[in-house]
Amino acid sequence: MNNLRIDPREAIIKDRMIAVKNIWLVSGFKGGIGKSLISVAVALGLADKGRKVGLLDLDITSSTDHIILGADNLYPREDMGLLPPEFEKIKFMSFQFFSKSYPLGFRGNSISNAIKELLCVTVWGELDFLIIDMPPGFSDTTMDVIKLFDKFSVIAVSTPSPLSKKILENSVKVYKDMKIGILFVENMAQKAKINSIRFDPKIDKALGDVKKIKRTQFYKDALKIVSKIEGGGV
Amino acid sequence: MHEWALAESVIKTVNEKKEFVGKKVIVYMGELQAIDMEVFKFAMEEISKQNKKKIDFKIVIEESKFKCNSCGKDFSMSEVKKKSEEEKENIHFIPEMVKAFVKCPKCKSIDFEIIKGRGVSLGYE
Ligand SMILES: Nc1ncnc2c1ncn2[C@@H]1O[C@H](COP(=O)(O)OP(=O)(O)OP(=O)(O)O)[C@@H](O)[C@H]1O
Ligand SMILES: [Mg+2]
Ligand SMILES: [Zn+2]
Repeated sequence: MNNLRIDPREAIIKDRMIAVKNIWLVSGFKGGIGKSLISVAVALGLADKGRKVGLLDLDITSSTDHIILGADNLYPREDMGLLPPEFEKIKFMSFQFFSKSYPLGFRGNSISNAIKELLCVTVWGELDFLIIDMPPGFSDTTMDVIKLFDKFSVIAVSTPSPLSKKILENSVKVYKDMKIGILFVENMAQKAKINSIRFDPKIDKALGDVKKIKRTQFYKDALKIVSKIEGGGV
Repeated sequence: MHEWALAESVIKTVNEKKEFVGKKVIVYMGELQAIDMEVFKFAMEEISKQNKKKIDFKIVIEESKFKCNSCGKDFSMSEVKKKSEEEKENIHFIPEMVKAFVKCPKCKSIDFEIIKGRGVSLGYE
């Protein structure tokens, strides 16, 4: 006997992603800048174009994708692992399925463990795109994803605020050093530009209703991002 | 059954890591995850058969242990209010979800560490 402990989960996580062709993290280095809205819109847009799409809400302590989608009471099915439920032709996975409406007082180690556990048992099957909604900042979750995934690209979201731009510049250096592809998206832009989504005062009224979301200017702008990442992105 | 996914990860790890060569493997199972032992053993057997490589293992169940970050109290699952089937199922899939449904029995804080007994880990004799 000895005290050695080996975590069996890490060995299998890459295998579980083997049939996932493109992984895109939707990341941004401040809170409340539209990462979740963009994640959901991009996933919906890809699904509309007939792509096989997964959406993973990795903002464990404050998941919101289910609220944006209006996806109540979803739960994965068990079959040699956990199969993500389908919603609007998207394979959707969120910690909220398990935590319900209770707050999760997580510190770093619990976050890593929960992410590893979910990735170890989730069976995505074949996907053209897996869109991952990330918590703000360069967080524990970011570090875990870098460690656990072989290959991914990043949609780096910012807003016209100089603070948002500055902190983004600093943080993307890490990805650049790792040769990770980055697509810069400016959200809440004042006018239409390339790779930008305009400020849309109607978006909040559409939350929770996919049909309404698809009629917004926000969604139409997000479709430009969809075309971009369909073409390889960066 | 999600026990299969866990068995797969155990077998892959044992077959890949040189530490396990020629050893009897110990599969530690955390109380929180409440694995269905029969399903797990069956999955281990089936996957080993497919791989044509038998794994010599035994299972050791580990009781849960928590420590409150607020007041310092050590406690275990047996000291907290019984959980509903649904809550148990959620903890079964993601043991950390215990943090959604359990509070420190002394000070009611949700800020506690899971010290022991969360999920599956491996060792050898
Ligand atoms: N283009 C936009 N036009 C108008 N409002 C927007 C736009 N983008 C985002 N918002 C507003 O910002 C809010 C927060 O968006 P969202 O939750 O997607 O941000 P987030 O970056 O995911 O936040 P968090 O860091 O908390 O995860 C939305 O509810 C909406 O009110
Ligand atoms: Mg968000
Ligand atoms: Zn306490």
